[in-house]
This record gives sequence, structure tokens and C-alpha cells, in this order.
Amino acid sequence: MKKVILILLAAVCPLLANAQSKQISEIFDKYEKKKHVESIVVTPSLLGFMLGGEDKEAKDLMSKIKEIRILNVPTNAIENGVPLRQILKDELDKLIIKEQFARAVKVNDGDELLEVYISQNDKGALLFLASSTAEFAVISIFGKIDKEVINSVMNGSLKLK
Amino acid sequence: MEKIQTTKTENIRVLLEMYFNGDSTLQDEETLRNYFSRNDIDPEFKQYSPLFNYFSQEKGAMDTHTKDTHTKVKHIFTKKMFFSSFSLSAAAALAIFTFILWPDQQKGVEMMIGGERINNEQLAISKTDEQLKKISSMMGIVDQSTSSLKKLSNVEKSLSIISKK
Repeated sequence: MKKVILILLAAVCPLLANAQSKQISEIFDKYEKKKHVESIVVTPSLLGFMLGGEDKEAKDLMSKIKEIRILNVPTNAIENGVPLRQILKDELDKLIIKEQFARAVKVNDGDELLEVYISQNDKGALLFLASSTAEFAVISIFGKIDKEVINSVMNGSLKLK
Repeated sequence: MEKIQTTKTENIRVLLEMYFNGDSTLQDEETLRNYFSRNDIDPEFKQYSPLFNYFSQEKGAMDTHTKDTHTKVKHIFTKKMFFSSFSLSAAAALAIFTFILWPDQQKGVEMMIGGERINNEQLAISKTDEQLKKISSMMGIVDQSTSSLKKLSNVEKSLSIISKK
């Protein structure tokens, strides 16, 4: 019986770990089809190409990041009389509370606001919510989120060009 | 009893006449075959016995052969069906992998505006970098603030040493 429970737990745990990133992906999938919304998906093959090479640090980073997704909602995008950015923000806030994402940083610089959330498990997502008067952008980095990945984004070493 | 026998013999004679004239029905022929398969055949008709028994045997053999062939065909068909369905599944899996999954792995970046796919990799890359830069510049503010706090704590440390003195 114990064995059965252990096998079941082993089977269910990865599913739970991926649940948070899956739910974020579902939000991205839903909003990327909407009018005026801009969506970008950076797949591992491009990340490997751009970050690869001989640099060991870049290779390490590459092995951890699975995908980067960006969703850009301009302020003028309206749905049923409500700004789409507000609808998206509300949906993300609900998910953040439900899935117990930890808020790492909140920076307010004039009209710009940046919030950074990290999923509870390391195989999850790093979520950036960047808000300005012109747009609301959601950037999500999926993969094994650790200190190295967070630092690479913070210090600007994660770039594609 | 004899009357019944006579009627039966008469009946067979009529059926035989019809048979040789080519007027018999399938049911009549079946009656004749049944009659000649028995042991109590009227000696008058014994000469026709091999003919109808031959037909009966042939029919039996044909039925068995048909049954066997049918089973064989069915077996081959099932075997063929299994292999064809197996190869079809394999082909479908290969097609899905080749045309649906593989290109996604190969494609580095995907961009959509208003639900429409934009085939401009350079634009997508520059927009991604723009967003990543924005994040790092915002995070620079955090870095500045924390370094200011560090400096402040250093000043505090120095002041505490002075005040102790």
C-alpha cells in the first residue's frame, strides 16, 4: 500500500510543480488572440543559439530556461467597455493569490511600475508585470528558476542580441 | 403405409422428370438430394443415387472449402488490417512530429499581433530585448537603492564606533 502511495505521489508531484507555469501559459494563450495584443514566444532553440557558444555561464543559463513569453497589452485595447489590461491584471492577480506566488520586488518609477513574482517551486515561472501609461506588459520566464536566472534578468545579462 | 410409399415414389419420379427436363426448382433438388442420401431408396431409382450423392458430397466439400477459405481470408485480412493500421498509426505519429512538433522546436521565436502570426524574427527579437532591457533598467533602481542602504549602514557603523569612543 505504501508503495502504491509513493508511486502515486511521484506521479502527481511533477504535475503539481508544472501547474503554476501551465496556468500562466493558459493566460498567455487566451490573451494573445485578442485584438491589439502583441505576443512573443522565445523558444529554447533560439535561446540556445543566442546565449550559447563557449560561455559556460550562458550554457548553464540556457539549460535552465525553457521558454520566455511576452504579452503586451496597449492601454487603448478595450473589451466590453473595460480596458483589456485591467481584465488581464485582475486575472493574473487572482492566479498569483491562488497559486501563492511570492512577490520578490515592486519598483515604482514615476509612471512605471514593475512587480516581480516567483513561483513557489523552482520548476515554475518568473513573472514580471510591467505597467506604464502606454501599456501593460507581462513577461514570463519558464524553467528552473533559481538565483542565477533571476540575477541574469536583473543585471541585464539575459538578452537576445 | 404402402400407399404413402407409393405416393412418395411417385413424387420422386415426378421430381426426377422435372429435374432432367430442367424444370426443377432449388427446393425440388434439395428434396431429391435428401431422398438419395437415405438408405431406403426405391430400387427403381438406385441408378440415380451416385448422381445426387455426388452433388451432395460436392456441395458439402464446397461448403467446407468456402468456410476454410473464408476463415483464411479473414485471418489474412485481420493480419493485414493489423499491419496496415499499425503502419498508419506510425505514419500519423511521424507526420505529427515532423509537421507540428518539430517546426516549433526549430522555430526560434514566434510573434503574434492581434491574433495574427507575424513572420518577422528580427522584430520579435528586438521587442523581446526591449522588454528585457526595461526590466533590467527598473531593477537598476532597486540595485541603487540597496547600495545606498549599504552605504548608509556603513556610515551608521562608523558613527557607532565614534560614539563608543
